[in-house]
Parts: sequence; C-alpha cells; structure tokens
Amino acid sequence: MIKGYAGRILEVDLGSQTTSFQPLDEELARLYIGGKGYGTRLLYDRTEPGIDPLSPANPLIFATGPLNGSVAPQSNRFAVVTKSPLTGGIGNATCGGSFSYGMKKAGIDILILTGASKTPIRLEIDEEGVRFLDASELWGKGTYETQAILGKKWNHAVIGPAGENLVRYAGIVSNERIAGRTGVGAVMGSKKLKAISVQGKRKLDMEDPAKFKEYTKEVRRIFKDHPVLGESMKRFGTGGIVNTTNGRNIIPTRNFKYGHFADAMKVSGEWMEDHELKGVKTSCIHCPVSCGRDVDVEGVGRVKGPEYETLALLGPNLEISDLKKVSEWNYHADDAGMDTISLGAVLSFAMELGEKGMLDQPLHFGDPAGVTEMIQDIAHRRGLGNELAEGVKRMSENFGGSDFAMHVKGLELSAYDPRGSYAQGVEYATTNRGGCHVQGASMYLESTGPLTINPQNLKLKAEIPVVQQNLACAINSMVLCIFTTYGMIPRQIHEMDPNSLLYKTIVTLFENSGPLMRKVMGIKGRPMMWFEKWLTYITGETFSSGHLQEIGARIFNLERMYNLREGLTPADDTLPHRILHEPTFKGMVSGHPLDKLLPRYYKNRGWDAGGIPTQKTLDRLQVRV
Amino acid sequence: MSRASRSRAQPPWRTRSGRRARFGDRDKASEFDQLTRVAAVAVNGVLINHKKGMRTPLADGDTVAFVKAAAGG
Repeated sequence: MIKGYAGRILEVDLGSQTTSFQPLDEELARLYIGGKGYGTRLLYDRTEPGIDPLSPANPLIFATGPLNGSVAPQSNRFAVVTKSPLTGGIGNATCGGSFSYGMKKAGIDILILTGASKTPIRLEIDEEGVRFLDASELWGKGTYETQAILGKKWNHAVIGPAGENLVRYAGIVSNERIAGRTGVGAVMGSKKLKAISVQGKRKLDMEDPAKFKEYTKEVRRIFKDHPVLGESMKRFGTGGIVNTTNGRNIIPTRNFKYGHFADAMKVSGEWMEDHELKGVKTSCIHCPVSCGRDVDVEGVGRVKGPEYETLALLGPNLEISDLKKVSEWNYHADDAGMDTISLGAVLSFAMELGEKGMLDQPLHFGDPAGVTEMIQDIAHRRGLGNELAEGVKRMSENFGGSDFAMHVKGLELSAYDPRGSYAQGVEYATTNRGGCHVQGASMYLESTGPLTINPQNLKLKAEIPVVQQNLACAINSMVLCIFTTYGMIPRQIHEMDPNSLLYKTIVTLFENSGPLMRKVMGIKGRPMMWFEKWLTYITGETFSSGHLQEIGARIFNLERMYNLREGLTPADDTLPHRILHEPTFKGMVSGHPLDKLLPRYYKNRGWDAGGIPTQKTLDRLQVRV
Repeated sequence: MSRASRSRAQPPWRTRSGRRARFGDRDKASEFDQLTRVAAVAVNGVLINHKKGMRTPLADGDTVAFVKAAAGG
C-alpha cells in the first residue's frame, strides 16, 4: 500500500446493520488522492442515475486523504461526498475539527454509509470494529449538547435538528466546525444517523518521516510570518476581510442588491477584536492559523463566533450591523447544524419577497426581530420555516422572484459579489456543487489578495478559475484546508509599495499572462509548495504543481460528468439574473459579463462549445465514465 | 524634461509643501502617505490604480477606502 493511507475502506449498511472492510484501491488513490476525489469516484461508480438524494440508495461517504492523521498544519479535514438534496447534483463539503484525525487513527481512509435505519442510531468506530447504538435520547438535541453528552474521548461528526428534519442545507458538525454546504446533513438525517464517533491509536506510516518533520517546522515558520495566515487571520479571524470586501464593493448587501454597506465595520473582525472577542482564539488540531474566534452569546456563554461568510450574509446581506445578534444567530444555526451561507440567503430572499408583496412573512431588512425564531422554525420545519428550509431555488419556484433568487445550480451564493470580481463569477457559474467560493477562491487572486489586478476586465478571468478549481479539487482530496492556498503568495509581494514600479510590473505581467499561467502551473517538475512536499514525503510518490493540476482537472471533470448524468445541463452554468443584469458600481451599465467569459472557460477546460467534456479530454485525464 | 518640470508634474502630496497646502496638518499628511504605501486605495470600490491613481477626481458622496490584502472563507 502507498504510504500515508490506512489502506481500508469501511462500508456500513445502516439498514441491515452490517459492516465490511475493503482494501483501498491503490490505482484510484494515485488517480484521485483521496478525500473529495476518491469519494466522487465511489459515488459515481456505486449509484444508479437519478436516485433520490434523501433515499436509502444515496450513499454518504466520509473520506480522508494521505495528509490526514499527520501533524501538518491545516491537515485536520475530512470530505463528505453524496448526492446533494439541495442541487440534485454532486454534493460535497469539507470540515475541520478532529473527526478526520480519529478516522485515520482508527485505521480507516474512507467510510461509506449505505441504506437507512428505521430508528435513530449512532455509530462508534474504533480499530476493533463498529458498534450500532440507539440514539433515541439524542434525537432532537443540538450539536453542542450532543457532542457534550458523547464526551471528549471520541472524535465526533453529528447532526442537529436541521439534519434530522431534512433541511436541504443542513450540515454535519465536528467540534465547532461544520461540513456546511449542499445539504450533506440532511442525507445523514435521512438515514436516521445522529452521530458517528471514531477513535484509535494507529500511527500514520510515512515514506520519509524525518524530512516531513523537519519541513513541517519550516512551514510553521512561513505561516507565522505570513501577512494573511500569520497576521490578519490570526489577529482578526476570517472576519478581517469584511472591510476589504466592503471597500471593494463586493460584500453582499440587501440580498446582493448592493456591494457596500455603510455599517459593515461593525460586523468586521477588527470590531470583534475590540468589542466582542474575549481573547480566545480557536483552531482545529495542529493548525497554527487559529482563524476561529470564541465570543460570548447572551444566555449561552462562550461559543464559536461567526466567520466571514456568516458575518456578511447574516450582517450586511440583511442590513444588520449588530454583531451580538449575528453571533447569536450563528450559534443557533451551528447548534441546529445548518449552513449559515444558505441560511443568510434564504432569509434575505424571504425579506425581499415580503417587501415586494410576494410572500406574507414577518422579516424585514435592517430589523433583527423574528430572525432567531425563524432559524428555529427552519430547523424544525415549522410554519413558514418549512418553506425556507427548502432553499432559495425551490422557494423561487413556489413564490416567484427568480430574478433575485441568489443561487447557482440551487446552491446559494457565498459572500463575494461577482460584479466586482469577474473570475469569481465564472467560478460560481461553473463549479460543480454550485455557487460556492471555496472550490477555487478566485477572488483572492483578483480582488481581495495582494495582487491588485483589475477584477472588472476580461483579462485572465477565464483562466484563473480553471487553475484555482483544479488546485482546490486536489487540496480537498488530501484533505487540506483551502486556506493553505492563501499562503502561496509570499510575504515579499504583500510588503511591496502598491505604487512602486516593481509591484506594478509584477501585477501587469500577471494580469497579461493569459494561457501562460495555466501552462506554468501545469509543469510536472519538482515539489515546490508545502503541500506538494508533504504529499511527496508522506507517500513517496512525486507531486508537483503539474501533477496536482492534472489530478484536480480529473476530479473536476468527473464531477461534471456526474452532474450531467444526474440531469444538470450546461445551461445551469449561469449566475442569478440580478448579477448578470443589475449594476452595482458607478458607471457600470450591466452586470457580470459571463457570456463573454464562458466560451473561453469551456475552451480552457477542453470542453466543446456547448460545455460538454470532449472524449479526448476525458481520455487524457483518465476519467472513466 | 528638466528636474523642475518633473517636480511640477508630481502629485501635490509627494512634496512636503504640497501636503501641507492640501491637508494642512503635517502628521495627517504623513499618515496618508504611509497608508498608501501599505494599503491600496479604492474609490467607490474600484482601486485608484485602475483609475487615475492619486489624481483620481472625487465627487460628493464618493466612498474612499483603504483596503488591505485579506482572506476569508
């Protein structure tokens, strides 16, 4: 077996309560690494087309990669892969916490859950095997209480009431982190599975542990000195980006009607540091970045504070500038186990529907009244909450308002307005799981990071998403945190005077690099970045930027083929009407120019003009369909 | 081009006298100068290096922001 893997896949049939171990396929591990990539391959191969995502036929796959179980910074994540009940296409989400560490310690690379239990159950998994336990007394409890009852000895992945009640954007929680997107928690709820607890004592077998250990120390130093990972994120958390996106006019405001909110500062990381934060920074295990923040919520105590997406979508997007309220709503959403991005989007959509007289509902922009109650109603599918639990796409089908329904493929947009970040718009439109930012994070290269290229012209905007999506696919298969890619632009670039000739030259060259960027990233040479070196030291195989681009493209194309198989079409590669046709910038006459960029993107992908991967591309990437 | 004419072509805040004339307070001018060296400046969301740099005209109601490189998720 290749080093870095436990070498075992555990399959659990929840209906018959039977288990089986299978060996990990080495060839598939080489082609897909693990995590999201390997999980997608299993989902494609093991399911019939057209299954109901909330039926027992839909498997729920927890997948780790070769970096999990090591002490590499940010290597604490696992991927969940399934058919999404929100989009009907590929569903996946990654999560921090400690669950992936426990899985590898228990000697399991991938856990496949099939079938469904008739009554609430939970699983305990260790090196000795699997125990099926009754979870009737846990059913209905929040994620915080559930994990407290299950104790700290085990590493847990649990759902809350949102997952139990099949809220289409319910997530799976580990510690205080959540695999939030695409409704993976609803699939777990449909199987009546409340919690999975794992533990073990297996050690990770590495090809070159000495080099790994020595190099990891160096990476920790690099992260510590990095302006984003070591300073901004460490000091302000992910909320440190609020003032940047607000200054760049790309923070969603009033259901994406505007890109700027006058009081955004009051929900920023800087404000949290000065007013709400009680000095407690939190992190996933082995992560030196510590992007998490604990805040005091009235009546609850000290809990995880909101991160950027939550701050933006429950803050400016609802025209709310009360950080205490946003923190409270964040707690309730986490405890119920639901995705705060989708939650923010359904709340703002309901508010706008109400404002336009299309839905009789009690919520209003700028007014926190009723939001806490609505979050509970959504989690328990009570009254109007039952409609909001369906997500924006289905709500727009039921109540109208498709022109301002902010989703792509059914997944609600995250908190970067594409009208001021064109490459991010292409990424939203084409990403297989829908409108999500962490399947590429193109915005960092064009609008929020240190390279100040013009995010509102066509240069590089069809190339950045391809490279970034491929890289993210590979990162989510190791499984590393996507934040590791923010460290790829070195400190020296950050520290340049934006007015200096050298800086302007670098930015101009980058902005005009066009296809050259893809070619350079595609070179199969020696490992350069830390994650390439870690993979190489752990597995003994050579990984470079070119290798990861190829593997990432393979995963991305397989996901694409899965979506096409399940009935999605290239016509779904689009953006909400509001983004395409309503301007937000002074002097802007229309919205995002997706029609000009999409043909170029398809060509860069090796797809035909209609957006279908060509056989030549699939053969080149060894994508078997 | 002579040194004198090059000097005249400089934005006023590049010289101490120009800063004093425009901003009045020397410390504030210095602070502004320092900020523009570590953070980008955006007017109505668009960086001034995609407009006319420090010569970008401002109108009533325009929003001016200093933006640092940052990442969220």
